[in-house]
Amino acid sequence: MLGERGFSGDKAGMNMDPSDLIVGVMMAIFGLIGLVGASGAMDNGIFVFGMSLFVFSVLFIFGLIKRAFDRAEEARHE
Amino acid sequence: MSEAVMAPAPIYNERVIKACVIAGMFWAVVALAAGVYLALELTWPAFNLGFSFTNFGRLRPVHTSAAIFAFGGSVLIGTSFHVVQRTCRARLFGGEALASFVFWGYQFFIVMAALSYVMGFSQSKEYAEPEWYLDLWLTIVWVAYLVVFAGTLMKREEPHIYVANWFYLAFILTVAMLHIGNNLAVPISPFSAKSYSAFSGVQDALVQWWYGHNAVGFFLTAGFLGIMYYYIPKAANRPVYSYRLSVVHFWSLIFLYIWAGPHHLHYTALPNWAQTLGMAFSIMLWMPSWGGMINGLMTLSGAWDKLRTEPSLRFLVTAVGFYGMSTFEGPVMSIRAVNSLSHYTDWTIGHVHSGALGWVAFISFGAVYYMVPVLWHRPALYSKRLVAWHYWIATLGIVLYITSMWVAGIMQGLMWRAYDTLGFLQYSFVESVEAVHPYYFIRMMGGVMFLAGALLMVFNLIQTVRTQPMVVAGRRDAPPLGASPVPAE
Repeated sequence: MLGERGFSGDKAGMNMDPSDLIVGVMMAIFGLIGLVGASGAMDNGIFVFGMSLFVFSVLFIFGLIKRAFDRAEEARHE
Repeated sequence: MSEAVMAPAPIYNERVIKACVIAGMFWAVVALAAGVYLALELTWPAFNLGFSFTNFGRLRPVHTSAAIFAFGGSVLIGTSFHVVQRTCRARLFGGEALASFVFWGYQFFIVMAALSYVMGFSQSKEYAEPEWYLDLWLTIVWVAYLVVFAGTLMKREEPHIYVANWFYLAFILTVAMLHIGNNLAVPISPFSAKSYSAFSGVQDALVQWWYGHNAVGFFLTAGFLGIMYYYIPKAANRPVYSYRLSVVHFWSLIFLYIWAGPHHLHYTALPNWAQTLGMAFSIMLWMPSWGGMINGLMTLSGAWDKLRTEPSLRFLVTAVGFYGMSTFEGPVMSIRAVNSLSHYTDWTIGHVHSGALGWVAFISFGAVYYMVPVLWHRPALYSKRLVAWHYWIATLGIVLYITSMWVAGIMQGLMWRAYDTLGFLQYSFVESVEAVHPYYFIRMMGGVMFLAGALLMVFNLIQTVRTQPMVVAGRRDAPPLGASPVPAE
């Protein structure tokens, strides 16, 4: 938990774990690398990989956000 | 420590293990279906269909990668997370997000690798086909896996590190070393998939087979021995036969395996002494391999009756039998004189599949049959009878596969080396191809049976989760007997 006033399960906010943040930032960087790779791709291999990496990163980050909200909801119901 | 005096266990991260089990079974079906299709292509080449993406050359790495890395890898990651949490009494290190990254990142690698093969991208290195950008991605995922696993070991509540974790750790560390070493390459541009290996000529071949054979040794052996050392004691509810032997097994296996690769390069430009070294170490591998097999089998001393009542145990124990058989056959085939007959023939394919189907797939099936009721909190599997059907269909499938390949392989080897009285080759190559046709058909039927068994398993597991009532955790959730500071002997 990042503390009472941060992302931690306060009434209105998400219940975010530090690893969510670290992995989330990491995935954002991977997504950007994917986009840059796809933009300059010299062949289909890099293009497909770059675009897929971008989509994968976005979906993964959405998954992290969803799970944080799910945890907060669970905590409210406990 | 007995279960009665244990402190309550933490809440384990089971979400990622469940995901690994589901992915493992999905990839098992994909890998086996791809194998059957390839066997069909080999029997009747018209099934290549004339498309670039359905030809044997592109689909073959899809089959091998789906079997080894997708099915085997998902099962290994899932079981290692299951075992390390329970034997350390600690939740996975790094939080849910990091474990989730390991799972999804690995699945992403598999899908991207398969896609790149059918698109025609390959390093042309057996079992290391993915190009540089995929190798980099896998390195990132693998380091995350190591962080989660080693971190969990470091924050363990148990003073002792149970032996299964030693095997898993050796698997993770060594695969990292092999993967990085063998895939050192220079891409022609950061925006191109094409790269050139950092090694050339026979050095490249040596590094490739140092990797290739240790992929067998550490991915397909050490990792799955981790499964053996946890799930057989758990399923039999007995401690490991000899904990001391398991430690000897571990150190001797990891010391010897790493030198055995050059036996893949007999009669090549590799210096003779290096070939002999590989052969000698391969023969020495008999000792730890059979020591481990004996330890696994003897764990059932006094509990053999459980083979009738515990469905997973039958698969686990038969797997250990196949482990013993294929680790006997491997060293025999590494002997230079035997290799002169067996190399480049279907004998090798038969040998690989006795290990892949009999050892790797069977021990995975046994572990998954054990894990599903535990993870989904169900009292038992949906149908023990279906497990028995699966067992016998799959076993018969393996027998058809490996015996047909033995006969085909030895026949090929003998035909290729036969000379007539004038010193000419007695048979043309195409005659040997024609001669093995019936055996290719038998092999395909063996594959169909093995696939049918896996489909029965998937149905059984789905029904287990869907129809069985939920129960609270019991004995199966506790660490195995003998996973304590007190030796189990």
